[in-house]
Amino acid sequence: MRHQSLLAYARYRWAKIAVVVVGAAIAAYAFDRSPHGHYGGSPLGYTLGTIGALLIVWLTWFGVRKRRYSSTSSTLLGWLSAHVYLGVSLIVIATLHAAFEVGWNVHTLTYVLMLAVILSGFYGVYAYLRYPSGITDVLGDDTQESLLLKISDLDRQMRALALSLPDAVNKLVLASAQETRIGGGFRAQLSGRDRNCPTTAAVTGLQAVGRTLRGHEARISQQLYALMVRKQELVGRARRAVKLKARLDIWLYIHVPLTIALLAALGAHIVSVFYYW
Amino acid sequence: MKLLIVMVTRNRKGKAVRTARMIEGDSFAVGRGTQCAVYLPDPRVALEHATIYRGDGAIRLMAVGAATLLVDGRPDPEATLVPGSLVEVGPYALTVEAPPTGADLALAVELLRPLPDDLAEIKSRSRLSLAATWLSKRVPAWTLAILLLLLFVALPIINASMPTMRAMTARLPVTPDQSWSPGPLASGHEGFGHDCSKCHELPFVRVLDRTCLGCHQKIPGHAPTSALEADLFGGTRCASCHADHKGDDGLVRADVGLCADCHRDLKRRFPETKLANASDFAKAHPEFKLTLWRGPGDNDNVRIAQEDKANAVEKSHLKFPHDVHLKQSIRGGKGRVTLTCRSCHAPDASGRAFEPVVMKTHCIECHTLEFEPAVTTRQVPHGSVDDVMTTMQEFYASIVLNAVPVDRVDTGEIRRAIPNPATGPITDDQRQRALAFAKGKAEKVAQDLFEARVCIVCHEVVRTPVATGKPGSFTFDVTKVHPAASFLPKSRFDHDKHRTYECKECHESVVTSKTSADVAIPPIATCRKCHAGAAPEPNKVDSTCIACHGFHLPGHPPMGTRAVLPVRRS
Repeated sequence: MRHQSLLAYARYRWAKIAVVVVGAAIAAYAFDRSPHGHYGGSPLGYTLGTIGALLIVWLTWFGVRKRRYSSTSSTLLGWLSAHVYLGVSLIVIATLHAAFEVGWNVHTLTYVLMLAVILSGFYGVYAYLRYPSGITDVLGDDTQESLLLKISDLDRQMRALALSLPDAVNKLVLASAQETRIGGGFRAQLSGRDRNCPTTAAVTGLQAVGRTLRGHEARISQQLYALMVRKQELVGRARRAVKLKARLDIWLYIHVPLTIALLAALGAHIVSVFYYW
Repeated sequence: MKLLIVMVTRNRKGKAVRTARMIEGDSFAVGRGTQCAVYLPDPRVALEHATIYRGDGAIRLMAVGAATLLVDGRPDPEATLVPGSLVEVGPYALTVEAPPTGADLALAVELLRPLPDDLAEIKSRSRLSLAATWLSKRVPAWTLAILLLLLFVALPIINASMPTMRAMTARLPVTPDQSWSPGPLASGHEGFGHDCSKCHELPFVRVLDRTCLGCHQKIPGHAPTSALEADLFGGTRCASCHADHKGDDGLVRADVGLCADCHRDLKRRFPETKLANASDFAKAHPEFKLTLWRGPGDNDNVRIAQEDKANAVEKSHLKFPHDVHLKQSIRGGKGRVTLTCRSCHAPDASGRAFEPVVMKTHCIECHTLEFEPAVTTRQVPHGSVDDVMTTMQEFYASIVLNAVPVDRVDTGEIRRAIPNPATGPITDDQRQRALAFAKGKAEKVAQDLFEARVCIVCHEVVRTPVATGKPGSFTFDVTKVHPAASFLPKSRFDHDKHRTYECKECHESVVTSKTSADVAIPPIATCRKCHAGAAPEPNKVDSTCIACHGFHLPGHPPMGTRAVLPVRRS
């Protein structure tokens, strides 16, 4: 099957639907002659509000749907495409529902939360379009697991080689094996770097120590150095993969909690409007 | 020196497996270097970690360089190896055992702490996904959701039902009630609007008319009777037309539909109506109809279309040619004057309309009421025929009785018949004759005053027979004038808002008007020069119905009476 982007899914079917929805909303708004002008409580305001609320609930349902691997209702890509385009159309629908009015109240809070969710979603689309291919490029035929396996294999080899070399070398190798970390906290994951990386220190250190060695030790040291450089490359790749994965995932830590907050605010908005009708 | 080295390893069941070998020499190196006699292959052991040698009659172990040893649990660079002592070199435990025959010392070597598995190690140190960090979706999601529901659902509802709570929450920068308010209140409602329940009495029930009418008790309705009001507007809520939370501008519907929904085809909806169909001011508003008084009652008016020139005349019983009064330099009481509109039409306190034109203020300077101008500047009072007659009778009686030397007044015989009061008292007969003369003189002058010279100039004067007097006696009756307060009372017109224009720009025909029957109200076309309908036009003001008209018509039964009436038929 040819690879299809989530934006171009089914020849931009959902883009077209979203354009029609947005166009219809704008046209209805432009031609609406409600007695009291444009506001959320006019017949058009209620209509747009209902559509907006249903859309929000449906868009949230995507979070449930994407975990239902057995579902047969369209493909997940189709759902995601609809999720993105209809989510964007919500900006127009909610803005027209509010009739461009803002205030220090739960109504505007709901609107702002919705915008925050959608904006984080924009980043999500960018991330989904950009990072997966990067991760594939970085990992190649490997997986995170196989990279770690290779790294630990190198560690074992290097330790065995280093046994016969001076203590300084041995220490570097041991530190590299015992203290090198891939990823870590979310900052470390997102930066993809470790300023105090023991493996990098070992590469530099081995180079320096290697110059002082002679004969058999120098040969072993060279072998060791080559292995350490290889480990450094593997560690770098693993970190880049972690970085890209983190960048691919980080927005969901905003998108998802804000979505749940939005649902709560939406409920409060609806209750408040009809409690004091 | 002979040393028995026993390498201790553990099989799967954890049982010790011992492999012994004998070494011989003066001293033995201990370390991970392959040249070491006691070979400890582990990176945690130095290349040459320690040396075993004989000294001071004992076998000793000494650390090399900076390497460290743990002797019986304590760091010590040197140890004397006697059976039972334990030295730790890196992860290895060297236990001194009783030597077998032929050996000086037996040393059991066991790797106590093997290196951990590299893969498991690096995995345990590394966190490869954000899910493995402290970041969470669930915790902030639930926290935010619960916080929002507490703040914006629970708190406002508790606030609404607990007055004590309201006093506390009033100090918040945004009160719970404000957090629910969708927009600013009209200024008139702001005073009590901090409490939602003042207007929204019942939860989940739309604002009730009775709540509005609680304050706006006397606001009049639209129809002349309550029954018709109910028939036409039953089922319409106050809030159908008055939506708050939209600031001052939004409180009153301003769209054409407010009126035009019915008035567009009012004749079909309500055949009894005398009103023409009307909707947009620019396109579908009928010509103006003038409200003209026809009497006799104060409110006996007719409404006549402006283009019906024959009937659209005012019958106010006042003669007033505007053209004469607006000429340049006319003769006035104190010389030549040129009158302007403002000379007589002074704006009232609001500026919207004008003070009534009053004889005593505006006319009398030129139109004096002198009845004997050659003799005196005294004037008759304006307004009452009886007072006029009395004034004149008093004047003439005074002349005669006091023997005032006035040449110009023809007193005839009577003047000589009555003695001067200084020379002696007059008789009753003489007084009667004098008074009779004064009365007769007054009546004669009155004829001139009323019918020829003064009153008749502006008023309609008729003779009215007097039943009680002699046959043929009569008095004068000045027909009461009835100037119109407004010719278009069904609309609101604010003169003050139009003050940038000259009067004649709208009332152009008034300059040439020869009679008070002319009504110089501008036609609708004049208004349309500046006023568009609801749809914007270049250089014009958008004007919907409420620019000039109101729904609540003064004098009609109040809206409050609708509450008890049945709802509208379909």
